[in-house]
Amino acid sequence: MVLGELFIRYEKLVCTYVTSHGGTDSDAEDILQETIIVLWQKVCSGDFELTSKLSTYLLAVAKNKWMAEMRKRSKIEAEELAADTPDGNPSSLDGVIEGERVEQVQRALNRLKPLCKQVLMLFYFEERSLLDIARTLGFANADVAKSKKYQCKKALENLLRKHMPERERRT
Amino acid sequence: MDCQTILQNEFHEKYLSEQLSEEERSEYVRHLNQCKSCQKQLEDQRLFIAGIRAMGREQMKAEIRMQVKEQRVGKTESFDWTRLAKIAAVLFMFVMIPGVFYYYQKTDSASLRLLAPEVEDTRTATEDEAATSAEADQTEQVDKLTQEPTKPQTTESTVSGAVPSSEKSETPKRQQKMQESEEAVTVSAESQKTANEMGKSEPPKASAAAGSELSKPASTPSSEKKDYTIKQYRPSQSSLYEMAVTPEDQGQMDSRPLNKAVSDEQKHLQLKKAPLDHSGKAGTTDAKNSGEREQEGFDAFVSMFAQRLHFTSDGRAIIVYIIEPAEKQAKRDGREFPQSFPVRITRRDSSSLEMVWQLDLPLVKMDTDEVGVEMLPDQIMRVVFEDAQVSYRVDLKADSTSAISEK
Repeated sequence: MVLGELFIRYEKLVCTYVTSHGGTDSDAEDILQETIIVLWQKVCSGDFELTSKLSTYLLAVAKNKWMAEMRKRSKIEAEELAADTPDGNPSSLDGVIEGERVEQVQRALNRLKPLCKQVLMLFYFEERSLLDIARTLGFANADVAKSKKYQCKKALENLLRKHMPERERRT
Repeated sequence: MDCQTILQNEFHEKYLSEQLSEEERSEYVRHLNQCKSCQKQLEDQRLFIAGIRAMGREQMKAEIRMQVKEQRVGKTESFDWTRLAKIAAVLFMFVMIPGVFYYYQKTDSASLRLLAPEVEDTRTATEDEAATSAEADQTEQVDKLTQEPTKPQTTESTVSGAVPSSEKSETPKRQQKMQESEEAVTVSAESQKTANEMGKSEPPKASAAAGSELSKPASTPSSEKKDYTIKQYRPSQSSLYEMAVTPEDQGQMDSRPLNKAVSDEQKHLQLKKAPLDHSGKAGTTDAKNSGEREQEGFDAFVSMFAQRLHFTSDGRAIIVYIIEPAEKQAKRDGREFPQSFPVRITRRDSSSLEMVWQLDLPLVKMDTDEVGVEMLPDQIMRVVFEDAQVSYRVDLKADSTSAISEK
């Protein structure tokens, strides 16, 4: 319930900033969620040290997130405008293709065994160390966790290879 | 650095997560610029990690939304309870407390006595003392009145003057009570005066206030005589009232002695007409004599009739007389009727009880049909004649009867 508590406590702070900088309430909610995720990942990585007030840190992360989002939106608008020209710009198409491939990875992840999915999520998303993963999942040591992570990664790649050609054939 | 080394050491992953040393990174980048296959592998690795992180973010956002929803629902519920408590407190402050004050203000002295018995007892004692002194004064004044009947107004002023001056500043309620006591004494005095004129020397009739305490039965001595007018009891229908005590549990009642069973709990009474003959037995109507009784009145009927109160096994009670005090009738007829009289229990078993008491005086008229019998604890029966405004206390254990109240 810590995440929800953080959201409720700092919702007004982040919402005020985002809405006063061209965002909507929905944008503010998304930015605050992203901010809390960053904090969570930092805490899980083990090397996080808070040198300021938590509200100051969260507002700083939220500002960066919102600025990045604004830049991303501006870039997309510019690319869409350039795509209307005759010569075109292939970068937006690449973005769409990249987005589809990310979705393919997610679908492949859902087909994995729960333990494999958990190992990969702990390592790549929460950025935990192999030793921490071993302790969390009850492996003997970090080497076992490393081996398990390698096996799961190969399994995911196989799933991607298996389903990628079908999609490419469809498209 | 070749492709095999890069794959074995997961250099793509380390490059993306910035875990390569400066030397390893420069060699890796140099090989990457020359190797299309490694570029493809790096891109796959980047999408691979991006996909995992995107999924992790979605799951975590869903978790945040769920937690926020739960906490907001919990806070809403707790807020509602607090709000309810506040509303209840406000209602109590603005409704209940004024209501209690209003109740205290509007409740009569009897209710207040129940709520605050000690205070009221003190007040009553004080008032009784004052009333007693005032009564004594008034008795003297009435005696003077009897001797000087042509000066009633002077007597009234004298009576008023008999009240101590210090009590004039008392509350209106107390003054009213004092005034009522004075009136009661005046009535008693007038009654005594009338009796003296009739050649009798009866004690003054008890005041209504003194005799209304049903909770404190005061047995009147049987030697004390009182004027009553006995009114006829609906002779036209040649029937008497049969009062049915409705037991709540017939089985329980039958399994216990009647007196115990009836006296354990008060019974609801129903008045039912039931034809009775002169012997007092229910259900045997003597139609032939009904007209005669109607014509002869109740005098002859009662004079030959022993008063009976009969309890049967099903909880029924039969009462066959009603008396009523009426001063005017008493004045006119000059009769006396005992306020209390002995009761003789003629039959008593586990299922029934029969008591008999004899009225020596003829009943000239009886025009009431409201009778109530109530079983009190400890085998005490209270017989109430509403129109007659008299209650009788029948002690089943002691086989005695006494008047306990008059309105």
